[in-house]
Amino acid sequence: MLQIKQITRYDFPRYPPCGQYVCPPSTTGGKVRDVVALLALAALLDACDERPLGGVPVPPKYVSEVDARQIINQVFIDRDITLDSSQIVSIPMGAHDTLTLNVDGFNDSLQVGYEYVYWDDQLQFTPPVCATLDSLNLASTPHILTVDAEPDKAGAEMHLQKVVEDFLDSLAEQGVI
Amino acid sequence: METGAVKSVALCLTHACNLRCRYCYAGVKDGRSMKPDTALRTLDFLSAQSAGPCAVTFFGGEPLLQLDLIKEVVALGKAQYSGKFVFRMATNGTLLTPDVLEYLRASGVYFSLSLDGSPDQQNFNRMDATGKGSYERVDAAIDGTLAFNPYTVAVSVVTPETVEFLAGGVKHLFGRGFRYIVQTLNYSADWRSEDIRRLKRQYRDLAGYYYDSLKAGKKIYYSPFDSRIQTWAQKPIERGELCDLANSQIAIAASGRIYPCVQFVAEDDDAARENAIGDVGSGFDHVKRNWFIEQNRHDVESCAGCALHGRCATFCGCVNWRTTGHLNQIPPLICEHERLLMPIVDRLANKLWKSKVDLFKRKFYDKSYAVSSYIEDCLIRKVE
Repeated sequence: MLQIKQITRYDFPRYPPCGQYVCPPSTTGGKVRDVVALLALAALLDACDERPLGGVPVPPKYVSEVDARQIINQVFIDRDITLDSSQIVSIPMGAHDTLTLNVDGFNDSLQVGYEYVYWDDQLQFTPPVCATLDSLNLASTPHILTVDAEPDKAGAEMHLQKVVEDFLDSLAEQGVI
Repeated sequence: METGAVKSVALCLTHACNLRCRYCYAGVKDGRSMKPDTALRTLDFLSAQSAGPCAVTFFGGEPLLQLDLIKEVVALGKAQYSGKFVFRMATNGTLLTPDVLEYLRASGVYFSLSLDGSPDQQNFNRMDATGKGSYERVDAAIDGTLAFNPYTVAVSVVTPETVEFLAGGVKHLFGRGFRYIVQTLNYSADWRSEDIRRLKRQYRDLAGYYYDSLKAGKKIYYSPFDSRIQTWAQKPIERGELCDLANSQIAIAASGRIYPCVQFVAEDDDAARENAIGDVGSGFDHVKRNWFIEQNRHDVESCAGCALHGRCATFCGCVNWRTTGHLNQIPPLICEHERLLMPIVDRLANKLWKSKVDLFKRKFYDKSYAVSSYIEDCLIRKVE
C-alpha cells in the first residue's frame, strides 16, 4: 500500500549546495582555453575549404615566383633564346593607344618575351591586358606569354614548362623564331 | 489575483492519432481537428495577451496528421507576428519522413520524441490501432531526427508493466544517440509496493551507468537524476516553476477552448468543458482562470514540514488533479517515488563530487556550462 509520509530527518548531501561552490578557474578557464583553441582550428579548417581532414591543416603551397621564372627562362634557353630581364615593352592597344608594360623577360630582336603574373603583378596584368597580349601572339608583335601563378599541385612545374614550350612551338610554326 | 503573461501554449491540433498508447490521457481518438480559422484566431488571441515571446507547442493526438495546418500556422506566425512565436512540437515520431524532417529543419520547428526506450518497452505501451508496436517506425526516424537536432529530447513513460526494462531502456536510448531523456511515471497506473521495489533497483542500476558516463565525459541528461541534483546544487523548486497552469502555461483545444494545461483537455467534451478557462474567440474567463491559479499556489497540506520540501516534484497541479481530482493534493505514488529516488540521486552526486568528476562540476556549478558546452559540441562536430 503506497503512502504519503513526511520525512522528518534527511541527511544533507555532501556535494555543495547552491552558492557554496563555484567551478574553479582551473576547470572553467581550461575549458575556455580549449574552446578558443578549437575555434581557431575551426577557422583554419574553414579557410582550407574542402581539403580532406586529417593531420594538421597547412596553408596551400605555391610555386615561388623565383622558381617559376627559372623554369620559364630555362625553356627559352633550351631554344637558344636569350632574354633580358625586366624590360619595358610598348603594346599597341587599339588603333591609337599603346600600353607600356614591364615584363619579366624579353628578346628585343625577336620581339618575344613572357610575364609570370604573380600576386603583385595583377594590378598591371589585368585580365583584359592578358587577353590583348594573347591575341597579339598570333597576329602581330610583340609576342608576350602571360603565365598565371597557380597553387602548387602534382606536376605543376611540368605544367609550367609545357605552357612555355607550347607557346614557343606555336611561334616556331608561325616562323617568328 | 495577479496573472502573468502567457509564455507557453500547448496547441492541440487534432484528436486523431495513429497510435493507441495504453497510458494516453488525451481521451478517445477521433477525427476532430482544429479548423484553420481557429488556429489563426489563436495566434491573434495569444498575440494580444502580452508583448513578450510565446512558445507554441503543436500537440494532439498526433500533430503531424495535421501537417498542412502546422505549415499554415508557422508561416502566418512568422509573417504577421515577427519574433513573437517560437514553434515546437510533441510527436510520436511515426510520421517523420525525410521530407517532414526537412520542412521542420527549414522552419526551425524543434520537437520532442515520445519514445519509451527499448523495443520491448515501446511496443508494450505504444502500439497502433491494430495492436502492432511502434518501435520500428520510430527507430527509422531517429538518425534523421538527431542529425536535425542532436539535442532532441526523448520523452519516456514508465509503467508498472515496463518497470523491469527501465534501466535497459534508458541505456538503449543513450546508446542510440539521444543525450536528453525526460522520463516520468504513469501516475494514473496501479503501482504496488513490489513495483516500487523494482523501480528502486532499476534506478540504482542507472545511477552506476550515469556515474560511469559522466566520468567518461559523456554529456547526458536524465531528468529523474538531473532535476533532483539541480534542486540541491543550483536552486530549490518553488511553486509555479515546475507547473504554472492557467497562468503562464495554458493549452488550447482543437475547438478553440482554453484549458489550464494539456492534461485537462482530454476529449474536450461536456465533462472537460467544466475546466475550460475561456475560448480564443471570447478570451479568458477570468473568474475560472484565477480560481485555478490560486488553487495551484496553495501549499500541499500533507507535505508541511517535510525535509524534502523544495526538492521533490509535488508541485505539478495537473498531475495532482488527474490522479486525485484536486490541484493541491498529491497522490501517494509521487511521495513514494520521491522518497526512494532522492537518496539514490544524492548518493550518486556525492560520489561524483568526491571523485572530482570534471563534467559533474561543470554541469551543476558552472553557470556558463550550457553555452560553453554547446560551443564545444559544435566544434567537435565540425572536426569530426
